[in-house]
Amino acid sequence: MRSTVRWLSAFLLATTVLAGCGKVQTLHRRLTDPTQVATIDHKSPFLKAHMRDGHVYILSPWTVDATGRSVSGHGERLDANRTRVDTGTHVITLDSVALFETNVVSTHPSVTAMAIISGVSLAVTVACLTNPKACFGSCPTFYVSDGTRAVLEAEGFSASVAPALEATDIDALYRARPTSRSFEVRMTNEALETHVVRWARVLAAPRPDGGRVFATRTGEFWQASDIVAPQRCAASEGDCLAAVRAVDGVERFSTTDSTDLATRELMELEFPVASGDSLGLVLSSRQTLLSTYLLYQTMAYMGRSAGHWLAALQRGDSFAREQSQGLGRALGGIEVQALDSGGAWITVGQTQETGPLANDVRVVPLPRLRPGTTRLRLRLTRGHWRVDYLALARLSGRVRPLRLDPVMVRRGTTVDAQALALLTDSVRALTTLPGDEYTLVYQLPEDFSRYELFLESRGYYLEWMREEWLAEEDPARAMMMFLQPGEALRALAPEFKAREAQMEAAFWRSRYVRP
Amino acid sequence: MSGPNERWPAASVVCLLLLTSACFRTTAPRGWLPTAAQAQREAFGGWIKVDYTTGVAKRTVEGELIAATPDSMHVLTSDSIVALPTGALISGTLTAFDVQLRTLKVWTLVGAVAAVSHGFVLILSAPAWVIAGTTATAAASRAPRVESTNPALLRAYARFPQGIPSSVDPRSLRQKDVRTLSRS
Repeated sequence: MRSTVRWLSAFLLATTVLAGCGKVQTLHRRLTDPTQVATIDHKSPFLKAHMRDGHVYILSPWTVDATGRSVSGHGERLDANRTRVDTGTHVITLDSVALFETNVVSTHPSVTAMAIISGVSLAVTVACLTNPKACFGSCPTFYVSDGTRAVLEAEGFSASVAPALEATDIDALYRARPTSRSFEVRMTNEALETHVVRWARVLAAPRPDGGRVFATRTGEFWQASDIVAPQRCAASEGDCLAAVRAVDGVERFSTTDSTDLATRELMELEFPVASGDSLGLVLSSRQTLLSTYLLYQTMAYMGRSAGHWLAALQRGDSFAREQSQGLGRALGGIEVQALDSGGAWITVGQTQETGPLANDVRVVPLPRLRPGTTRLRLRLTRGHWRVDYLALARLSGRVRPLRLDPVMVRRGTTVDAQALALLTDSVRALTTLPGDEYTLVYQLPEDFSRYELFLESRGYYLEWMREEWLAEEDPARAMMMFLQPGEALRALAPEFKAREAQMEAAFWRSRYVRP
Repeated sequence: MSGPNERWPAASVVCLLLLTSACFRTTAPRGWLPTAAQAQREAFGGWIKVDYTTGVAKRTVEGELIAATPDSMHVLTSDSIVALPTGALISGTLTAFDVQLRTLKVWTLVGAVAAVSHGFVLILSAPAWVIAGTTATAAASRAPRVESTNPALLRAYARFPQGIPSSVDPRSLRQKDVRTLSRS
């Protein structure tokens, strides 16, 4: 049905564009004195000769004779009341003409503007038609001010696609710059999903002088100082240093392997010194659209039986829960590797944050590495990660952050006491639907500028089954996604590869805020 | 509960109707104005609405602009020809042709409604259609309009841009018969 609406919309809009393009016209009229006949506008298809006696000739085609003493053409002569007097070929001497009138018709510029927006609109419609999985959003999104504008800084519990997978997620509000104790976080539901938010707290961890605080994958908070960017970064495409030197949105990423979506790649890093006590590798990263695509493809394969799977998860069916994690495990996180005493590369830590929207900044504490170490490397799935920032930091100690519940919730300009009550009662939860938007207000400590802020959100979300996906229902493939994720990643590789280039563009066209 | 997919198109259409109501509207009788293409092959004046003063009161007259000269303006109303001294004119609004605003309005409406095919993106695309469509329609509505009492600007759109010839008795001038207009 939705597909039919899209085709119908595209057809109607295209028809309207074709019908409207030539219709909205404007007119450039010019009067020319007969003595200036040489300057007359020859682009005008019709020439009107206003005669001294009030008659008018309307000629088309028309010409000015070589001597410039007369004009001639085919047309009609009208009297003062504009009644036709005669029709035919006329030669008019200039001395009987009071004025010449020319008119040039052109398409009004507004048509160009309308044609552009129509083109964009049709492109979005066609993109949604040809690739419904590109018109998606993702989990609750949180925006904070960086001092000048609102930035997308966190997406909550992205991996929690069912009640049974409800989880707590911690995201660094790395770019947040509060200007007073009253700190606002805007929470939105921008996808075709139902979000169930148990809580959304701001965590405030005291910063060391000149340093920052980073969270680990396991929810530890480390004060860090001496934060140093790498001297060298190399990957399959060559030098990648410029992309990873700062949290600036310039990201290093690659494309997937065309035969196996789980194929790994390496990023080689070099620091001035990477040995000693208490070091950690700071990473700012987010996922590409690969994992979201796989989630949606799985739901498409499940088709009408998706509800049974989600119900199994809801019932706490351990088999279903175990199998639901298979694809994610096959894709893996970002492994940090160092050389062991025998000169072999070993994995010394890992980070993983689900979601393609907001970069999350985390630290991977490193074990004591052998003296003289300057090189580290990352092992990650090709085309699965976007890395914005890498740095080595000295970790000076763990800290316990303050946990702050919102003190006020607004919808638009209206205070929503009920939403506040739901978000501050750990038993109940706030349910949001597409388009919902809440501003959560927190009261920070008095010396707020000395705190690093994080967002701790807990909940789950339910994807809405898209009608277009039902066309791809395939129980056998659905089973393969769960039982043989490695095989599924190989089988889906050619199809994903064919869509990969357009997917990012279609995705960002389908959203209205960029990070 | 109605979701945004249902609410946005309705809200967009309401906004669209409100905003397009701000567009310029001519007071010319329905079907009186030629399109731009027709205006190049007919020889009537444009439709003008003029405010003028009689010295003690402000009056308004509207009709076909017959002539606009430095000393006077002649307007053919539904029942007579009115000659107005230039010094008595307060304001004038002339519409030279029909810019086919209806096309743009329908286009905008279809576009805004078609945005429903964008799924959730219509939160962006429906308002974009309303803003672009309203701006385009408002801009187009000004294209055939001359707001002035300056004869130098108005005369190109008069039936007699050269002024009423001495051989023509103004009282003999007849109104344009809308039925005779070619709509080809």
